[in-house]
Amino acid sequence: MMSNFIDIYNKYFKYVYSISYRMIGKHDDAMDVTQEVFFRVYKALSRIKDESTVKSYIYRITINESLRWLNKNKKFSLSEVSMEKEGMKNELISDELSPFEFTVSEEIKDRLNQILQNLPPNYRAIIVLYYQEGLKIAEIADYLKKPEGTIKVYLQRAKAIIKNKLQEGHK
Amino acid sequence: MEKKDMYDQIDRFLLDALERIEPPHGSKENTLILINVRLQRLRRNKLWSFVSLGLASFVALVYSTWFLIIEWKGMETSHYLKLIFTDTATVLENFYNWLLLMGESLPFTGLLMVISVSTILSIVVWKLDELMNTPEGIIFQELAKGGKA
Repeated sequence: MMSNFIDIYNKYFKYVYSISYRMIGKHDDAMDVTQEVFFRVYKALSRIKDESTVKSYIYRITINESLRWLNKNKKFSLSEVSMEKEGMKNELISDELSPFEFTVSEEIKDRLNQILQNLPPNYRAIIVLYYQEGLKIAEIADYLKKPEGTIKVYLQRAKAIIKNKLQEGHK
Repeated sequence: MEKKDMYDQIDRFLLDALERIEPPHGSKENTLILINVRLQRLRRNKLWSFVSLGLASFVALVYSTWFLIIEWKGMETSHYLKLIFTDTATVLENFYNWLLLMGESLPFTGLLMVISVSTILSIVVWKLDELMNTPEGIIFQELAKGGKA
């Protein structure tokens, strides 16, 4: 059982840390969440039958633990609520769209990380799972226990917020 | 610019910008050590609760057995059994009284017995569940299913 756990640990440690870090934004807190995730994986190991179950279980509890941590530590502020509204507004104003011409640099990556940390947790989770982990909408919907339509809408809103914030910072 | 094209640009940008983050050097090993410490603490706590529960159920069993013996003696059932072979008329006469005595003591002794037996059974089931998660337990399960260990 322990050797099986070590294999899983070695394989998924980077995934779990990376998602937790993107969700929480601090190394120490991301490590706490990572530890909690693998502790729960160890306890559930006898019930996990195959490789696909392991992967989906790990993604699910990583997101849940990160959201639980954010909720417990109240890391989302009032500005996130306004961001959510802003996302909805940006989605509606299609006529005022401006070109999006950013190239990936270290400076832009830092700025993107800051924007991510201010996104509502659900939006953040969707962005991380979709772009960083390359999951499909259906998989994300399954992990977050939300309809696929809702995930698509959240994704569009999150992208609208990111675009807007990046362009605001560029002006 | 079309909305779709703009989102395609953001999609490409986010795909490029959001790469997996490398954990700091040594953090993987440290986390594994911390998980091990937590697991050891969990095992120790489980062992303590198992021992305390086992001790409590043993005390309950001894007490209920002792109580049953006292009740048994009080009911003079052994005397009554002797009479079955010696005096049938007296047996029939005392049968009603014996039934009443049994009925009076049943609720309390029954309750004690149920508590003792259910405590012991729950410990056995809990321990079995624990054992089934050990490597030996998994081999046993495989054998029970008819597969090779």
